[in-house]
Amino acid sequence: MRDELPLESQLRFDAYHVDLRTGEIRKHGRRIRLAGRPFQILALLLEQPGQLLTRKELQTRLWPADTFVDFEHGVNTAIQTLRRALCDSHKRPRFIETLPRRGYRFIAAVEKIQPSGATIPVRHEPHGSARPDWVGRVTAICDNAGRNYVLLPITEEIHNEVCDCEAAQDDLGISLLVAAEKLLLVNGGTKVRILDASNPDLGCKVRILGGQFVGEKAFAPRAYLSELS
Amino acid sequence: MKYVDGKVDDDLRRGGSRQEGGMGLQISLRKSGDVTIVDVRGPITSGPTGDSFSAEIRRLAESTPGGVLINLAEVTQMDSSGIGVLVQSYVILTRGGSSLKLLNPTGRVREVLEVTRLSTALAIYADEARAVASFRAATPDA
Repeated sequence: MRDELPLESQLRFDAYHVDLRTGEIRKHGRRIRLAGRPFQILALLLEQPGQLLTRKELQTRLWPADTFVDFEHGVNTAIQTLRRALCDSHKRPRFIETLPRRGYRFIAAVEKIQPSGATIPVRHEPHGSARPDWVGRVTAICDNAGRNYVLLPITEEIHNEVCDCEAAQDDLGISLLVAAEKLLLVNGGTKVRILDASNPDLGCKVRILGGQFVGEKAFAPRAYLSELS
Repeated sequence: MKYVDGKVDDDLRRGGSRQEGGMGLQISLRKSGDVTIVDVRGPITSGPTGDSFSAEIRRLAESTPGGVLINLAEVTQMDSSGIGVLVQSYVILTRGGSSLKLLNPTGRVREVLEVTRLSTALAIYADEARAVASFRAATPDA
């Protein structure tokens, strides 16, 4: 497996720095414990960000052909370990998206670090088609759970921070984001105008058209835009 | 002390809880041992009344050695401004070695506390006597 890794092996995504040759991963410079198959899966995902890595491909590349193991269990366990290490969530993924019964896809932007220290983006195949026809449309914020209130992050970065808080069960962190008005408390049914739909699978930038935060911009996660199709 | 529509009622500085007219926010204070109980009535939303609530709770948070228990039973509405006041007061009180707890949120107010996760970050009680007793206990029993 290690021989298959690219020689230019320093990669970066979000706050993470990955050295494929030494098998090390760091977040904000602090080393994270991740080894074995979870790290190997991360390496395979980073080879082709934005593209599907099938479960079959994982099996053939990580498990020798004559191995008799519960492969399904092995992959699931390794993915869980990897997600925990990255503070990622399978429900609201920031990095590893599950395509049910097919495989996984790395959805964050990845950069290759040159020996000079400069970075170049790794080609990222967009996993969702942009929806320019949504831009300008007015829709209502809906919560499928039927709650009367919804929290809208002001940016995609804050959305990611919320996902981190949820993965860590950091409820006070979420409350503090609300207090700082980085996470906006809006009524279900509040109308918004779509400003950007370049990554509709994740969510859209919107302008809030009613309530306490009328006029503000926010990032509406896809789950709250169920009226759009 | 009491605020009516954002104005301080100095007659209540000694802990009265006199009722007055008006549709805005009303706050009254009383003590139970070291614990200051803040009875709030009306909406805690942005605007002048919300600002008064914010100022009073922050003043309490900075000056009260004992804990602060906010009785939300008669709060009809709360927006992110109210959440902001509660969170900041919680932080100030906790840094000072004290604590902030909530009593009896109902309806939409409880839902706001749940959506914003404050219902798990802060201790919430349905019974005042238990709430007051919890300030003396080593660990909250909410």
